[in-house]
Amino acid sequence: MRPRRSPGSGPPPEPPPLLAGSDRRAVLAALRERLGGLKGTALAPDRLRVLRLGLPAVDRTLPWGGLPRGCLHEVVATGEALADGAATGFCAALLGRLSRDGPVLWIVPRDDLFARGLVELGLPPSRLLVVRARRRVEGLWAFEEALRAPAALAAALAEIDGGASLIQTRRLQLAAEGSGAIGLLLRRDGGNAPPSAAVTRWRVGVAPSRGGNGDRRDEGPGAPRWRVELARCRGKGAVGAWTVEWRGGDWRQVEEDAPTRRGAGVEAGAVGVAAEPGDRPPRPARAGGRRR
Amino acid sequence: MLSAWLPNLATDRLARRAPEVGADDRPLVTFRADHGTLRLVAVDPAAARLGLAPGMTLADARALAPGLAAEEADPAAEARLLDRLAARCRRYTPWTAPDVSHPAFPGGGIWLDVTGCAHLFGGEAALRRDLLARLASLGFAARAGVADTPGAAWAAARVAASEDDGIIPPGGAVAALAPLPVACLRLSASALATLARLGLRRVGDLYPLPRAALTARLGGEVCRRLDQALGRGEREPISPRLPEARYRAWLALPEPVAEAGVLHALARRLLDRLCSQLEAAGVGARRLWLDLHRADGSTGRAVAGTGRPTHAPDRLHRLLADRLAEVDPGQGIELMVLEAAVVEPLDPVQAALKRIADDAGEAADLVALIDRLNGRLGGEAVRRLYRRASHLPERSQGRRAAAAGAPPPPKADAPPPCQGWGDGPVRPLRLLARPEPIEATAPVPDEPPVLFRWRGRVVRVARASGPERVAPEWWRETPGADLDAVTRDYYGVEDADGRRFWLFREGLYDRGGGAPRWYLHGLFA
Repeated sequence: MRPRRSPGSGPPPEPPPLLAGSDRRAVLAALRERLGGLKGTALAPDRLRVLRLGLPAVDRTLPWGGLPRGCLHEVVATGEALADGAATGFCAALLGRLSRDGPVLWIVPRDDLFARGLVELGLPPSRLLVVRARRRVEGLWAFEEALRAPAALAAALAEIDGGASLIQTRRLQLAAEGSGAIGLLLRRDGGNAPPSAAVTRWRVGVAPSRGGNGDRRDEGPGAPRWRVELARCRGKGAVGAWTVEWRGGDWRQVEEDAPTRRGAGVEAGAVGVAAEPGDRPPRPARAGGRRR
Repeated sequence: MLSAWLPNLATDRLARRAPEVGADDRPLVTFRADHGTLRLVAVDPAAARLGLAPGMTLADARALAPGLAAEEADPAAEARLLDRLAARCRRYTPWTAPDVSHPAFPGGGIWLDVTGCAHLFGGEAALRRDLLARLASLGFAARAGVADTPGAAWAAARVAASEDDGIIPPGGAVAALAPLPVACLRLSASALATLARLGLRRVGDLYPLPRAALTARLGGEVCRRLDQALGRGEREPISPRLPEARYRAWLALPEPVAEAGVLHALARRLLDRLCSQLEAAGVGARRLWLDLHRADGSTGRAVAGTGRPTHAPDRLHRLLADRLAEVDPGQGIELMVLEAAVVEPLDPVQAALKRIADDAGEAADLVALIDRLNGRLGGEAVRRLYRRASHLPERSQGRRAAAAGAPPPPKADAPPPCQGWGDGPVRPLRLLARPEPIEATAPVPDEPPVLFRWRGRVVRVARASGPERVAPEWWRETPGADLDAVTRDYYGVEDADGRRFWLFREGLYDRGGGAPRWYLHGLFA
């Protein structure tokens, strides 16, 4: 049973007596924390419960050591709306980790989730509730209701096609603070994101997978890889970009391979045709490359 | 005691439903399957005049009456109809019950105990006339008999000489029943056959016979029924159908009210009263109706439903408040009536220990959330995914309404929750509801596509896997010309940027039947 937390709850701490010298720093820190608690905008790092993502580099970058609970987080899918499964996969993997703590809710505008795919990303369908909200207004309402439900859900994910305005995200953040659930707002329109009250904003895009040796076309797609970027983080302003691969039921960070290490002749957009080598016209040799 | 007899209940029910069937003297019968043949169960008067009788085969009946209308007998529907009619007869007396039909007199019957009620309607004869008139207006041919014992009333209803002669004066059962045939005593067929063989045709023939001899020859049934009819010995036990309890609270306002805040507060007050009624009865409400009667005579209704029965006022108030906001008060509301339309028994939950209360509280919160979402977004907005036994991807999962109960939190040594979903080839994260056609270029016959065009964009394939063959389910009855009938070869492809798609080719190159077509079915993570 998770205790319900919200910054600023409980009686305000006793104001410390005003001292000079080295105690001033302590006094200022205490005052800052108290002010942040009252305003509700700054989140004291030691007061929140976090979800450890399991990616050490990302966890280090986040000022709380993980994803803070009781907050709204925004995930923006870079790239085209429907052709991009990376952001969906990232969110599904996050929900999979969160589903260990309780049921999770997914609000979709279209009924197109496939359970076998969710299972591969670690999200068991038995702990997932799917809500179909045809209109944007209904989706936002359902998201707010889900976040407001006290201690019923571990997390809620909403796919809102047009994103949410500042006022709407502020309401969602307040609802999440009240209940302690994590709210994930998935926007698939990419582009410029309006200002929002979400605590963190992520941008997730596709990344080419690697598997085996070389990049021949008759080799299957490897383990999914996503380009995860922390675009905005309230408070400390930390940012970062990583490439994350999902393999074997868990994710890990991988290093992005330098382009020159790839087989020559394969540039973005070109494809190796499986034809007899003798039929192809000879290619000009590239720097550091070898003929295929 | 009043016994009403509806001899043509089955056919009258069908005639009421479809007036053109029973009109202009077209014979109407019901039948049922009996050991391989179809036999008649009930015939209406027009069919009886043509010589049809129950027990005849349907083929013979059609030979006798070519224009016959025949429907399958539905005893359950007839029983329900009889229940409803018995409930309607509650306007005469609170004690009504449907009657079991006797094979000698098919149709249905209703018992009414009119002791002490008859004077309210102007006497027994007036009551009987009123009842018959009402049943006739509903479309049922009926006969009724009044007597001081159920058996005598039953006999009077079935074999009374004419329509007017149905009332047996108190104490006159012996004299009134004497000329009637023994079949009116509700005896079994074997007893009736034996009595016929013995030459005992009228009830009056049984009076002088010694009871011991009757019992020895025919069993105790004859004497029992005779005693019941004549009022000797014990009374016959017949249980009335008690009316279902209605849970209702209403409030009449001294002047019309149109403000939303006041209406919400009044609704909350009504809800508290209704919930105390429900709690006292040990039931929970599944559906609530709040009828708002406006000053101009119209009515608006707000309906709220829950997944599980409950009598907690807070939960119901939140559900009802949303629906109440949608009803237009108009000129003002004068009368508010709150009724629990659907109730179910509710087990009381003990909330003593804190730990148990917390777990129950969590589950209750989830149930409350599901109810709220379902209330606004539609009856089955919140769903769970479950596995179905099919290897076709679009049939391999189903969605059903989220059961109100949340699954228990996983225990430490429980098997992993994803187990059972099948290890197998990799499946996409999103499956399009309808596969979208694409134009693909692929080396024949089995190679993955080289590039394809989807929604106007050209995608060049960098990596591909497959084919995975999914054959149609030949055991399904209607292969037809739809997508299921053709073999599919699935390929998972990835372009140079890392986008992954799930394509399939419908049809094979080396078989006949047109060129194969390519579709995009899903997107990987």
